[in-house]
Amino acid sequence: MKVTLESSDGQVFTVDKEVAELSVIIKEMLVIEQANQDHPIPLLNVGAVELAKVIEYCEHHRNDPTIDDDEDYDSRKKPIEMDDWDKQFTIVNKEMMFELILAANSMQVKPLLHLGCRYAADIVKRMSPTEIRDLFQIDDDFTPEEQDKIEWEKQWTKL
Amino acid sequence: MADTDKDQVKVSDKAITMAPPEVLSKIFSFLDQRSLRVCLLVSHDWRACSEPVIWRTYSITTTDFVNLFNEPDKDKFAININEVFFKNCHHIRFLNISDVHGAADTTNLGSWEHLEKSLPHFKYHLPSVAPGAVLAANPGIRELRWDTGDLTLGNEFVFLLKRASRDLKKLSIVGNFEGQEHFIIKYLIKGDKEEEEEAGPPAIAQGDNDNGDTVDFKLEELTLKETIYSPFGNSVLNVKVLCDIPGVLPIRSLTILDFRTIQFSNEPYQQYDSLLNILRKCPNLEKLCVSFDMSSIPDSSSESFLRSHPYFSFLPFDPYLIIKQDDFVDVMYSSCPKLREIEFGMARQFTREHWVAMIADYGSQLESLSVWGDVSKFDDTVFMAMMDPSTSHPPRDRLHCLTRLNINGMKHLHECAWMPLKHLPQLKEFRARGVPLDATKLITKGEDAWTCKGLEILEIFVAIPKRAQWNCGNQEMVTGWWQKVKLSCQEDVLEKSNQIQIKVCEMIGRLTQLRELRIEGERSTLFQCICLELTLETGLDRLAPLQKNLEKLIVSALDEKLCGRREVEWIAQNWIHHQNRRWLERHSPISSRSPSSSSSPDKNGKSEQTSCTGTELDDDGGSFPSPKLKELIGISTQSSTSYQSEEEARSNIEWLKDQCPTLRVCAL
Repeated sequence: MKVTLESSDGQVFTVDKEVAELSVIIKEMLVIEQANQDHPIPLLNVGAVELAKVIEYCEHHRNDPTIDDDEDYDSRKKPIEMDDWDKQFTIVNKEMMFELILAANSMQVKPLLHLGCRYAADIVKRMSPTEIRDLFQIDDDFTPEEQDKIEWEKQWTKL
Repeated sequence: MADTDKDQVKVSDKAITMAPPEVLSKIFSFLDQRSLRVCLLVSHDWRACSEPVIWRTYSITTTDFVNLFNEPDKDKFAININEVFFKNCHHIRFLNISDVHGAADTTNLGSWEHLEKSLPHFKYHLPSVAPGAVLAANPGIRELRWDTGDLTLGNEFVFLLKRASRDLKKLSIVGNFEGQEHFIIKYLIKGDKEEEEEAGPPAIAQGDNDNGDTVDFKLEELTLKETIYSPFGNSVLNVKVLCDIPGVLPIRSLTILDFRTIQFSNEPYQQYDSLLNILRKCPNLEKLCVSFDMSSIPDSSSESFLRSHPYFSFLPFDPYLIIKQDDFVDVMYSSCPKLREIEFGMARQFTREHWVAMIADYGSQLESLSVWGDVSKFDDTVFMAMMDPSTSHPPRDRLHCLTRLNINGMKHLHECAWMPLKHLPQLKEFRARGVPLDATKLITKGEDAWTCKGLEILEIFVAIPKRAQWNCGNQEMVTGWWQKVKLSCQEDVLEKSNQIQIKVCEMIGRLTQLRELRIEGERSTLFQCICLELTLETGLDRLAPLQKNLEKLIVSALDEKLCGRREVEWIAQNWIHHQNRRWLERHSPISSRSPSSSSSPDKNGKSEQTSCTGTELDDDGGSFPSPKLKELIGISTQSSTSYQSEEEARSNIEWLKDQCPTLRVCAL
């Protein structure tokens, strides 16, 4: 069975239902709107470029077992293995990957979100606060006093 | 389309800035503490998301922990610490309160007295308030490990438990219980219902499960460890409360460490006192460990393995946890049919029949078995029947699930301790410290005698009978306590010994999955055996295949000669730099060096170092996969039979350290 999806910029994609169902959001939508499947499912937060990429990912991982999203799960203890395909898949520019993370988050494609966040974490590692701000264009919204306080707390927490 | 592309780029730049907190948290969950602390400084948003992740796992020393709750002195610093801690402690999910030095202190009675004198307020100031306050601020805690060192636990601990939510999954308490543990157990079984009536105000917010009769505890693992080793001490596991409490303890893992006896009824040392009374309460148990904690003893080799434990130095008599009761195992099996992991340390009270029954009952489901210490009733017959079911009566299943086996210190099993290597192909972990294995026997079993190709951890003591013994009388005699040697041929014995060593190394070398290898020996000549020398003449090169996975090599009391010049070069070449072409090119192959050049290893070594260390970092930094081998422990530099001086040995080891900066080398 096929399902049609519409990106935020109006492009329509047709995919197998089981592929689309890797997205928790779409899966839930399909349950609710069972009768009403003639219309494409609108994905308001996801552009066509990202959607194509997300679908590519879902096509490849259609038969994977689902991962539990346990709150207690400590990613640092037990990393999920990346296969070669995943490694290839993550060779895109940073912006694309960040967009994909957001797309995966809004569509709730858990394994892709996992993969993307791991990728992002690898980038953030070894960076200084200034570098991070530059990369993500974040404004430094700390006052000097706050800055001092954090530094001080950091010191004794010896975490 | 071009327009949209442009827009896209713009949006992308801001992507993570606008990332919802849950995405940031997820990203942070992949970061180490150091990177997380950098994230703290990025922005308010980032700070808000990284702080909970940082505080998720928290370790603190007992002293600091207690100080958190002390009345703030004039010490301004302390006040601020308290402030930060209490602001954040609701994020904690895994809390570890322990003194790093606590374990060492308990081995020394003097220091215990000292502690009591110097910190008199400890006993009274470690009250319910402290841990309770943390837990009250933090209802979501999942794991609590509280190592109180030598402090006496009061029944205040129950208050602590009350404050811990029902989400608590792992609870580990280390301390001097003085009989208070029964309050804990009582609470774990019965919950706080009764307590509420008795003790007044309820401590926990009433949950949905309030009406049910069963306590909705999610506790899965419970560890109780006693810390007092005095002969007059109270290392009695007090569970008398179990008599009159209905209900069960739904845990899946129970660990009882360092208790001497168990007290079930109100009369001490009654005949019915037994571990069974706890097991009856734990029908879901999958893992049971009744043992003694040896982890504080840094390197416990065969003999010292047992003697060094403070418990055994204080107490000449047997621990009393298990009562000689004929149907012990039957009751155990009917109470806890799901057991998959069993550890009994020093369990001398079991009879041979008990062991046989235990293997028969649990054998087909057992994944891990640890019977260590000098447990003579677990003898050859039991062991052989376990390994080779065809010999057992009645016949039964193989131990087809068993992946971990520990028989440390069971020296009386020396005749048959090789059997697991042959009969348990699924084995992943085999520990047999202090059990001398006769090398001649190991190799006569044939080339492929070791079927357990997946072995990841191996601890063995390989012994090769000495020449002097072989030539004696009718070729058969008792050598020390461990071995009857039969020799069928009369070749040159030294030659033969080398061949044996090479063969053994060959067999170990085939276990390419090994991550951890510990080879033991016995330095004293009392035992009339030679041990592996691990030189190039005696088969070190046969261990080359271990480069695939070996992370840690420990040699213990072995008199091996790993610190020879050619040996350290071999190690660098085959275990560390085997994938580093530049290094290999720079170092001429070992075969072309004559061993006699060892007259000036120092000079050679130094000139090499100075010439290459400068360039090495630049050229090789990260260009080859980092070597697996990380630790090399116990190398002896003062071997009694050594052909080189200690100085030479030291300089060789220094050379190895220089060449392999990632390798931790511990030499004796």
